[in-house]
Amino acid sequence: MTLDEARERYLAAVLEGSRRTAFGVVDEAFHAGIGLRELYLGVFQPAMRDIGRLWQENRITVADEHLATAITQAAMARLYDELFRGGGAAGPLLIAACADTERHELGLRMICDVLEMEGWDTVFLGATVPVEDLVAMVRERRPHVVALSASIAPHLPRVRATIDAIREAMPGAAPLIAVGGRAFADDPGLAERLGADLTAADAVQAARLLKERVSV
Amino acid sequence: MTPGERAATLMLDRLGEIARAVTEAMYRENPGLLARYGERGRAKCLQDMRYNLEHLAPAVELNDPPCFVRYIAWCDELLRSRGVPTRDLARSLELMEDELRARLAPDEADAAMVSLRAGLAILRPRAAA
Repeated sequence: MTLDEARERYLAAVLEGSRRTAFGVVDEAFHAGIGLRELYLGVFQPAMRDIGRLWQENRITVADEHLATAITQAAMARLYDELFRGGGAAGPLLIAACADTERHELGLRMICDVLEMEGWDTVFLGATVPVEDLVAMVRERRPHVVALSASIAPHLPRVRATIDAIREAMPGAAPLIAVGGRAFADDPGLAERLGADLTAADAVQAARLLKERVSV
Repeated sequence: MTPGERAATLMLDRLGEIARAVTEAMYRENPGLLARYGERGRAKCLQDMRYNLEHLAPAVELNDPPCFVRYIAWCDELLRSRGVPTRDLARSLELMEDELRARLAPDEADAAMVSLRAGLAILRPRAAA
């Protein structure tokens, strides 16, 4: 099975809503030598982008989209035995959270997993973490990077408030703050205007930029 | 607080009221909408007005018109694929301008209009096409 075939067949399986078929495609691809990183970047990420576009074009419903998301989260979780095999190195620490009430957490989770593959130690907090609790954890655990995501504009003021809160709580010692998600696409300057240190369009770029910026 | 921050706060605090006022104004001036979309359409329209305000507010608060422009471009595509013409979205923004002006102090309204008009500006050529 080639990567293109894997992507097409995986997308067809999640559109059909068949978890069993989707898992089968992933297993087959893995046994055909397609690695974890390629599965994430060449199958899951593009498939979920296609799902978002199909919803926007009114070709699938919100229910279809949620089912596809749930299947992909489960497919990723099934690979965790592989991903976390061997105990892992104590690489740089990244704490990731979605901005406040943001509920689109799949993209950020993918970023975390791809960074894990690159030797990072990631803490993924997901959606709806209160700002003060996030700040408390950042103060206590002193990560190299805090990554925040927002898919839509209504969450942007909370991204800025979170960044401000972290910088205020740790004057001169704040971690690198990275932001991303659909709300930052097509506007390269927005991250900086909100007070972030960097942004990336996808998991590959995020991994590369963070590697450049964080030396351990 | 800046005028933009005050405007955004009011928009979100009175989201339901403003969304209802815009929806009522839409249907009042164009009764054909009810014939075309029915009661379900009116409920959807109200929800859409809420989304529009939810997306306008951060653009105004952050003084970031491109943020609203991107949403409007996205929203127009989404609505057209569901059979709603660009002119209806454009008209709803014009009516929203009236409703916001009626509720905001002049400096707050001015701050809000920068983003709102930037959104309208990309719709007008599309509506004429």
